[in-house]
Amino acid sequence: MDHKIIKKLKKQILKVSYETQLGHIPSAFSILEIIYCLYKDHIKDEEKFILSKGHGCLALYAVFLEMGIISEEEFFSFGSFDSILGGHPHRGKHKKIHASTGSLGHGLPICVGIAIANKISQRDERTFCLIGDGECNEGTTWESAMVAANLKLNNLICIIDENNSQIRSLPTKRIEKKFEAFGWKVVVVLDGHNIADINKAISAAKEEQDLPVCVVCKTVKGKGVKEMETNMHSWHHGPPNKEQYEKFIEELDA
Amino acid sequence: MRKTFADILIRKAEEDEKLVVLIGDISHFLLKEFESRFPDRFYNIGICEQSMIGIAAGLALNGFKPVVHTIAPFCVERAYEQIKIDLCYQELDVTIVTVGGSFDYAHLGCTHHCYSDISILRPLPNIDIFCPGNKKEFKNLFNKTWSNGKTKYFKLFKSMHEEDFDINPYDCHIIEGDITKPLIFTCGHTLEIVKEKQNIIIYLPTIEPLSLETELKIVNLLKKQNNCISVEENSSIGALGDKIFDIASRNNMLINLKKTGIPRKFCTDYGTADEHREILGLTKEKLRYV
Repeated sequence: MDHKIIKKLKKQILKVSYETQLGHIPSAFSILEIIYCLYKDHIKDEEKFILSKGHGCLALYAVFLEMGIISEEEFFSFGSFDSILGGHPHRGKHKKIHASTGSLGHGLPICVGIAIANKISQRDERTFCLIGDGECNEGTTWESAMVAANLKLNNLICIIDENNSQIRSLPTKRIEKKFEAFGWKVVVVLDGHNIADINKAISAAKEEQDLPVCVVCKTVKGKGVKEMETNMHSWHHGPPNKEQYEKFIEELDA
Repeated sequence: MRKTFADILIRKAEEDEKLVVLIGDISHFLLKEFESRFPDRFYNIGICEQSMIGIAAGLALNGFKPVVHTIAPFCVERAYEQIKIDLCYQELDVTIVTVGGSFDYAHLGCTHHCYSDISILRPLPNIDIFCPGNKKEFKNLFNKTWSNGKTKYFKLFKSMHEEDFDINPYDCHIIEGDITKPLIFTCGHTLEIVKEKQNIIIYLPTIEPLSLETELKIVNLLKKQNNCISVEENSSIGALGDKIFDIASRNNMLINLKKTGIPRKFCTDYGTADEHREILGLTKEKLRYV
């Protein structure tokens, strides 16, 4: 069932990107299962999730569509002048978008602040953040990782989309070891597209009593579309043409 | 000013349980009493100013009203993008209070100077910018803008002016003088070096935004006297002087403005702030065209 929904959402993402000629499809396909699992089974209504790697937002919008948080009309307005859904999420335009993101390295510090706020208010709420392995190049990721560990923010879960796209410049190697060294509890998901595995890891993260938790998901950028999976350099930002769109849909349907 | 800041924080925290203090590993001794009285609302985040701004944003997203405090260059210049995106773009109620205005830390050298904070913050939407000139003003501006839903920046200098008048945020204080002489615009403690001049003095501890009434007052004065001088201990590029140009431009007026401030250079000498003022002509005796 979940598998069918993911396939349907991927086709929606391809369609909206083809129709609008906008969007970061491979990044969205890298994180789609993670966001789907979070919204389906883990994030309570009052809890906050921040997509720090905002360029993967088509995955977030597709999950919003699936969960009935936005309408189909809103989804397909993606990127148009007066749309509520832009190429990076904007907080003021939808109540479920809790922070405007786009420039990398901003989401985790913000989530640390939200987690501190929940501690002060003694609210039993978790904060979920999704960052990329490329984003781990940013110094603020490690600054805020230190702060979170220092303050023992056991109400903070940071999920890393480790799709290795940063091999083109500065790879963040051994992310799990790095977060462990920074004082976090780490859970690794070897197949970041396997819904059962993601669910298991996030459930384990929610059990942690003492430390902030980092869930490292090993993913494939452009998962499900061979041309994207194998041409990371040419497929990052950019829509498919008609021929590609039809081919990719056919591939997903196969 | 710093002691006043510490006192204000305690009083405000007593009234408002949403006030949270974040410091970048400075002023821990100054804020000792605050820390002991409100331990769950005091965080010495560490030496990571960019993340500190993001953390303040997260607190504000959950309804808290953070006050972020550190030395001006490390906050404004280092964490500029965080101020722009995490605070202004998200429209969050966060108060930033910095010390080390311009070259207050003269002896520590240029890494600790900050002349351009006002200049780079002015173009950002959704931030109120203040240069209070003494303790009373700071207290007044802080209290009257508290909880206004906006990001706020207070630049505190060690030096203060000695005038005593009431002034509201977004307003100006006009000291009457000779309309045939150039108008003098100033902010913060530099009021002290112009206050004895015969010119009309327009004192502006709020740099951004001014109320429409205040802008109108300024426009009406500029209509009578379009020669003017700005005097400030900020960069002469982009701060109060250019604010006056902007007011004139918005109102389709041509004015002659002599900008007096800190030129586009590093002040690489050490010593005291007063020694720098002497060299830069920012003293009562050395001011020109007044």
